[in-house]
Amino acid sequence: MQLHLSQAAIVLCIGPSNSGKSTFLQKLVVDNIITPSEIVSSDDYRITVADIDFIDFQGATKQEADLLYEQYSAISVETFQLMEQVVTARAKLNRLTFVDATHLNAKEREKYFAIAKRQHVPIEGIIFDVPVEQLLLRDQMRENPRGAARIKQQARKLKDEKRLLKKEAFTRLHLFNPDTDAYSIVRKPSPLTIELGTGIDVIGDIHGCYDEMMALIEKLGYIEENGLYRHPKGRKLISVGDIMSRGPKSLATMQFWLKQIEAGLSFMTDSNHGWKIARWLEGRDVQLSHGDELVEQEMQQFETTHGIDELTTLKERLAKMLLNAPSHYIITENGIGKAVVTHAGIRDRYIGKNSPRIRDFCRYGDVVGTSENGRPIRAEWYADHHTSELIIWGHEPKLKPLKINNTVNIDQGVVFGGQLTAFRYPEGTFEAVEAYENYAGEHQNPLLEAAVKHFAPPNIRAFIDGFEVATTHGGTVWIRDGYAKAAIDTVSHYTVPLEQLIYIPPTMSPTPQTSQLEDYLEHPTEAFAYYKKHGFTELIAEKKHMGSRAVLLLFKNKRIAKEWVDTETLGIITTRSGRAFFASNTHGIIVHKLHAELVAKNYFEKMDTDFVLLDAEILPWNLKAQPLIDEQYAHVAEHALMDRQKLATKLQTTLVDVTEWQQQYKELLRNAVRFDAVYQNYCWSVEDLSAIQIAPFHILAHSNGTCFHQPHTWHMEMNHWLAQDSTIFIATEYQVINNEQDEQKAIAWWEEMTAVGHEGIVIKPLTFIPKNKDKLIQPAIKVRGREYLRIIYGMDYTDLKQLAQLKKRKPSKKMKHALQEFALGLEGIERFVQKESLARIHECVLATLALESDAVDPRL
Amino acid sequence: MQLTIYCETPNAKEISYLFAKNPNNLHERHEKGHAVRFIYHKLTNNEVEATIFVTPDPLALVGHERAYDITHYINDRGFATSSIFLSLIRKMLGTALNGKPQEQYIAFAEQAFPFTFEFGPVATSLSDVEIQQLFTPLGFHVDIEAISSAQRARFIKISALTTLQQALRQIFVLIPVMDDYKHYFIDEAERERLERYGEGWLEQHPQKNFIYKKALRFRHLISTETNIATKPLLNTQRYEAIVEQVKQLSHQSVVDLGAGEGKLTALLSELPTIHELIAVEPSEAAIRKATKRFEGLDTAVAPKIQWGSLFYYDNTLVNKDILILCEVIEHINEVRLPKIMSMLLQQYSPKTLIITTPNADYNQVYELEEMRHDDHRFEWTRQQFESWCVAMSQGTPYSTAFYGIGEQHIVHGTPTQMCIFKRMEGL
Repeated sequence: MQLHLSQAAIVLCIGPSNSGKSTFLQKLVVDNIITPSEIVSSDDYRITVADIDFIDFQGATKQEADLLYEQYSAISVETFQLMEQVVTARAKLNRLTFVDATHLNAKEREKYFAIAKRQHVPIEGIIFDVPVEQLLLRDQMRENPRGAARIKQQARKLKDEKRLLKKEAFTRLHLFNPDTDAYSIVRKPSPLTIELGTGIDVIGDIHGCYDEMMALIEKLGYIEENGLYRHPKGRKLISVGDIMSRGPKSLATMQFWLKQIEAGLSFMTDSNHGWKIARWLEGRDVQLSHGDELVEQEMQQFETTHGIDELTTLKERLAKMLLNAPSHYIITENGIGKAVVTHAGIRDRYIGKNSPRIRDFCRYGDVVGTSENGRPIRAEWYADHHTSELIIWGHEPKLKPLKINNTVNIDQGVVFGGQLTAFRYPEGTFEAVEAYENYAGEHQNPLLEAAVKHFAPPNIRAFIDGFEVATTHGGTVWIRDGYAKAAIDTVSHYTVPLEQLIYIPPTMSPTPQTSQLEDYLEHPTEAFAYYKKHGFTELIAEKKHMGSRAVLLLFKNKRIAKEWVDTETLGIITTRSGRAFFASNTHGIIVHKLHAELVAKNYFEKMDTDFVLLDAEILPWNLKAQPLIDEQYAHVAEHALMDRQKLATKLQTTLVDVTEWQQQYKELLRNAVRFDAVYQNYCWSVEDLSAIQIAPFHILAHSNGTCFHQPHTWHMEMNHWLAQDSTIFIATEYQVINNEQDEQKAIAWWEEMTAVGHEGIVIKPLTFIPKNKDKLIQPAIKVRGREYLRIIYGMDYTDLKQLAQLKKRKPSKKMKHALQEFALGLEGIERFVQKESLARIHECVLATLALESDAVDPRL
Repeated sequence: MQLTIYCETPNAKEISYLFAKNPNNLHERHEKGHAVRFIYHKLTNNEVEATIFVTPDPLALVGHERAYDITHYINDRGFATSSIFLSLIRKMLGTALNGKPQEQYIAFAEQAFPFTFEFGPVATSLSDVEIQQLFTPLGFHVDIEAISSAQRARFIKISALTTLQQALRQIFVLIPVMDDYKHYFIDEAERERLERYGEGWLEQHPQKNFIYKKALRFRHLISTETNIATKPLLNTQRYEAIVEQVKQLSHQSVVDLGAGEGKLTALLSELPTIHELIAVEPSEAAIRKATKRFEGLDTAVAPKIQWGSLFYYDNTLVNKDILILCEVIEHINEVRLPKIMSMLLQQYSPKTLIITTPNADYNQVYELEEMRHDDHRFEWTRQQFESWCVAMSQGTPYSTAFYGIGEQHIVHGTPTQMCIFKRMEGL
C-alpha cells in the first residue's frame, strides 16, 4: 500500500474488530509518521463520553442483553456525534485525520463523505483485509474478547460491503493486510504554497500574446540565460493561467511556461482555457471554441514542421503541466499565508484546500447562471472576502487593474486590445504592456462592452433601500434608506451630471475638545493634543482661507476628458455639495485661464498625467456667499450696530445711575463692530473675474495614480509651484511642526493672523492617510480664530457665561462623518483613477452626499 | 430693540404716572431670560423722555432645540423690533397699554399730548413711502433713519398729538406688520389682540387690508393655493390631453416619470383599462403629497409610488407600454438629457413615450420676458423642441408626432407642446 497524504485528508480505517486498525495507527505514531492527535478513534471516544469502551454481552440473559444493548447504543450515538464534530472541525482547519472505527455500514461512512465534500478535503479509505481465522485468533488473545459470533458476523459484513465500497466517493481506496502487506506513507507538504522570498511577479491572462508577454517580462527585469528567464534578485514569475487561446502565439507562450515551470523557476495556476486544453491534449473529446481552436491550428502547424513524434512528446509535457497546475497558490512569508494567486476567484474557506468544486470555482469564478446570449452570469465573490490574504486574480477583463475588497484583478484583456498586467508583490505595484493589436475582434469584446457600459447610469435599485460601500481605508460605510433617498434627490436636481461628479470633499472636524483657556472656544493646543494621543508628532499647520470649498478636475485636453468623464471639457469645478461652482460663461473663462497656466507650466507632461484633481478654496467668500452675506451677516451687523449705538448713547443721559448698563452696552457695541469687521475681511468686489483666487491644498490625483502617498509638505510644495507666477492660483502659508517649540510658534502665528480676522488654521499630520492601530484618525482639524467664530456662534459668544455653555458642544457625530466621508472620498478617487465604472465611483459620491444630508450642528 | 417715548408738556410729571414707573428707580425685569429695562432720560416740569429696551440673552434666543441651519444661530431677532420685542415689553408697559393708571391720573391717560415715539431697528422690506403710508393716516409725522444706503435696518420716529394708549396700541399693531420675519406662528390670541388694539382706528385705515394680510400672514399662507387663475386650467388641459392620448394607445402599463404630487397619475388611475400604473419621483416632499392623494382615490387601479430618478437606471421600468414625461425635461439641464433619452428609448424601450414641455413661442402671449418657472433650465420654441425630439429618435425604432395643448394662438401656437415617440413594430 502506498499512501500519499497531503496536508489535509480524512482517512477512514475500515475493518472488523481485531483487524489491526488501532495497532497499525499506533505504529505510525511510534514511527513519527503521524501524531496521536491525528487519530480519532471510536474506542477513545467511548471512554471520553462513558468511561468504557466495551460491554460484555456474553452470558447475559435475554433481558439483560437487551438492556446492555440499549446502553451500548446510547453510548454509540454520543460517541459518533462527537467524532463527527471533531472530524468536521479538523477538516475545516485543513488537518489530516485517521478515523478509527469499524465503518462496516455504508450509513456510517456516508457522513464522512458529506464532511469531506463540504470541507473540501480528500477522503481516503483503507480496508483492513485480514482473514477471518486471524481475526478470531486475535480476539481470543485480547483482554475483552468480542466473541466469535460477532467477529464472524463482522467479517461477513465486510465481504459484502467490499463491492459497495469500491463505488463510494473515496478519493482513493486501499486494500491492506497489515500482517502481510508492505506499505509506504509519504506526507507531502502542501503543493499550494510558494515562499515569497525576494518577491513575486504575477502575470495576468496572456492568451497567446507572446510578444507582449516577453516585453513585459523584460520590463520586469528578468534576464535570459540558456533559454530560461531569471530575475537577478531571485523573484519568481507566476501566471494566473489562461496563457493560451484567442491570441496569435499560444504555442510559444505555453512552451515558455513549460520550460520555466519544469526548471522550477515559475508557477502557473489552473484556469478555464488551461483545463480545456489539458483535456484536449490528453485526447479527450472536447469541443474547442472561444479561441481554443487556434491552439489546435498551431499544433497542426507544429506537426508539419517538427513531425508527429515531437508533437506527441510536447503534448504530453504540456498536458502534464496543465493538469498539475493547482487551483490556487498561497504565497507565504515565514510560513504565514499572505497572498493568494488564482485564476477566476476563490472563497475564503477554500484557501489551502483542494476539491473538484474548488478547482471549478477557481477556474470559472462564481457562475450563478447564464445570460440570454449564453454567457455566464457571475456573482461578485470578492464581496465575501473577509480574511486578510490579498487575492490576486484574472479571468474577467477589466479596463484597469481593479483593487476591490483586498483583491486585485490583473486581467486587462491584452488579447482584446487592452494591456498585459504584472502585479508585483509585496510591493503592490503594477507593470503593464499595451496590446500591440486587438487580436480578438470586436464581437463580444469585454473591453469594448465595458467601455460602453462604463458611463451607463447606475442601477437605482442598488441604492434606494440603503446601501453599503466597502472602503479600503475606512471599512464599510452603511447608508440608511432615508439618507440615500435624500442624496438621490440632490443628485437628481442640483448637482453636475453623475459622470462629472468624482468627489465630494469631506467635512472637517473642529478640535475634539474645546479650549481649556477660559476665554477661548477653540485653540491649537487641543489639536496638537489629539494628534499626540494618536502617536503623530510630525504635523503641518496650514492657513485656512475663508472662501468656498471647491473641487477642480482639470484636463490636458477635451478629447482626453471625454475618455474620463464622457464630456468634452477642459475642466469641471464643483462646490462641496457637487453643484457647478460657476455659471457657465464664468466657468468657461476660469477654466481656460487655469488650463493655460497648467499648460504654461508644462504640468501635464511633467506629472505624466491626463488630468489633475484638486481640493481647493475659491476666494473671495462673497463670490458664492453674497446672498448669505447680504441677508445674514450684513443684515445682522447693521441691526446690531444701530441698536447698540443708539442705546449706548441714550444710556449716557439718565435720571439714575446706570453705570453697569453703560459698561455692558460699550462691550456689546464693541462686539457688533468686531462682527461687522470679521465678515468683511472675506469679501471683496468681483466685478472683474481677475479678483477670483484659487488656493489648492490637495493635489488629489493624476491619471497615473492618486497622490495620497505624498506627505502634506509635498502638496504644499505643489501649491506653491502652482501659485508661482500665477494670476489665479494663490499660495497657502504653512508651518511644519516637529516639537513643542514649533507648536508655540504655530500658536503665535495663529494668534497673530486670527487677531486681524483671518479664519484660522488647519492642522494635519504630515501623513495624508493617518491611522492609529490600523484605524483612521481625523485627517485634519480646523482651529478657528476667536474673532472669526463670532460669525458662527454669534457676536457676543465671547461672553464668559455663553462660552461656558458653548464649551459643552459635542463634535462626535461630526468627527465620525469626517472620517467616513474622508474614506469615501479616497475610495471614489481611487476608483476613478483605476477607471472603474461610473456606478462604482458614484456609490462613493452618493454615500458622502447621504452622510451630508444627515444633520449635524452647523456651527461645528 | 428699543422704544423711546418723548413728550414736551407741562404735564410731563403726570405722564410718568401713566407708565406707573418711579423715575428714581432702575426698572428691570426678566422675561424668558431676557432683560427688559425701562429708564428715564429726562423728567422736568415740561419734558419727559424714557426708553424701554430689551437686552436679550443670546442663548435663550437660540433655545434648547437643535437646529441645523446657521440662520437659527445668527439672525436679527436679538436686535430688531418684532413681535418678540412686543411680547417681552407688554408687561412692563401694561399700565400704559391698558390706559388704567391710578385713579387720579386717568384723565391724563385719555388726554392727547404731543408725543414722539422712536423705535427700531426695524427689519422690513417695506420702502420708506410704504412705512409712511402706515403711520401718516393715523396723524403721525414720520421720520425714517438708516445707517447705510442698503437700508437693512431703519429707525422710525413718529410724532403726533395723541393719547399714550392709542399710540402704543398702534405701534403694537404696526411693528409686526413691518417686520419681515417669516417664521411667526400666529395664533388666535394674536388675532384677538389685533382686533382689540385696532379698535377705533384700524377699520378706517386706508391700508387696512394690507395690515390684516401682513399681521395674519400665517392664516394668509394657508389660503393661497390658487394663486394664478390660468394655471390650474392649463394644468388640467395638459393632463386631459395626455389621458386622451393614453386612451388611444396600448396602455396596460403606464409610468408617470417625475410624477411630482401625482396629479396626472391620479387622473390616469380613472382609466379602467390600465393594469399597472407607476408614479416615479425622486423628491420626498412630492412623494408624501402623492401618497396622500392616492390614498384618497377610489379608482380601478391603485397607482404605485416608486422612488426613482431619471439619472439612474431602474430595471423595473423596462418594457412598459407608456412612459410619460409631463413638464419634466425643462427642469433638467439640457446637456444631461441625451443620456436620459438613450436610457428611456434603448433600455426601457416602452411602446410609447410621451413628452410635454412649455412652448417658448407662447410666452409672448403671456408677455413674459423670463421663463415661466424659476427652476426651468430652458424653455424651447416649437422648432427647437421638434428638432430635438427628431434628433433623439435618430437611430432608434421610434417615430415622432407633435401636438399642441391649450388655447391655440394663431402665431405662437399653444402654451404647451407634446411629442409622442412611438416604437415602430417590426424594427
